[in-house]
Amino acid sequence: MMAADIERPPSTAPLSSLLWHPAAGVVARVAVGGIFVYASIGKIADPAAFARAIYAYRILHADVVNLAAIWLTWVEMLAGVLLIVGMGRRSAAAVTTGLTGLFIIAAWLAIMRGLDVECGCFLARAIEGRLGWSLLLRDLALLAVSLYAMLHPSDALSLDGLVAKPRP
Amino acid sequence: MAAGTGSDEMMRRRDNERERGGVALGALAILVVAAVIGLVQNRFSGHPLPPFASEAALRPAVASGVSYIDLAGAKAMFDATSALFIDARPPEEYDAGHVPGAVNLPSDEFAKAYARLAPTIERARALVCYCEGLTCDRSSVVANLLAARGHSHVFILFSGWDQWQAAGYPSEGSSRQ
Repeated sequence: MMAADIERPPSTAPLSSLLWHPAAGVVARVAVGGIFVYASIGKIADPAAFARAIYAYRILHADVVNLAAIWLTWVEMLAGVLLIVGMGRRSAAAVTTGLTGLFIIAAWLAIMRGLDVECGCFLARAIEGRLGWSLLLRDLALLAVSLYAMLHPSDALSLDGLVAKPRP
Repeated sequence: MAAGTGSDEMMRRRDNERERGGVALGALAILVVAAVIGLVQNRFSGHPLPPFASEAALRPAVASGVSYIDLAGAKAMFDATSALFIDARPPEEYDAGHVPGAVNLPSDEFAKAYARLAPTIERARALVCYCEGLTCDRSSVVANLLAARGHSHVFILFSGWDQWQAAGYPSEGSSRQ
């Protein structure tokens, strides 16, 4: 076998370099962070409404619904802010990815059980929708971008990049 | 022992493992810090949620003249036929099953349904509004509208239909023979 066979075909290189371009990483990071911060603001303003939304999914027991509402709201806010400023970027993206994965499972379970519930995603009437397949697709897209932000190697325009120690 | 590339590979693998551990630890820290901030912020916010309380905190605010009753209170009124039960859910859910004798006053079509039911509602001594579960706010919407039209003795059986069914109380509708 020739050595050239093992090398990556040159035609895919531009696509790959575009995909892993530092700017794309920054855009993904800030977009996911922004979405999570925005989502948490409505919940901080009306925690009871978020608690009701969680309860509607009928996954958590009523006794712990309030606690989950208080906690999840601030996980969203904290992870979102950290993503935007790029501090602990990968950890924050791991949290948003995991959270989005949980939302997808919860939404899928609710749809399967035929529950007619509000998404509970943003709590803002204008963009809040009933739970359905289109919302599930939206969550899957968010999951993909969040995962991408986690795997992206670049620390461009981030606090992590500012404080990174050069390797010996 | 492999030298050169072998030990490079080992170091890289160790670096990767360390980074993965760092990411996981960072994620855990975010979860813990968020819980602390959340509890502190909730404690000092203008409208705190009791962390472990269940349904009371979920109840929507209601107008004056409207009050919540528990299942026992509602059942007593039902048995004494001293109240008119008002089902605030959409007609298809009402048709599938409802408290016997309840009238359907869907929150989405309140004005139309009210015009039709006003004589019945005005004859009732008390009104007990309900919708499906802890998260529905239809019963409170309807109760507030009834209070606004001058009705007194308006009650809400919160999480009404869920509770009623869970208790095994009678119902009528297409899903019950």
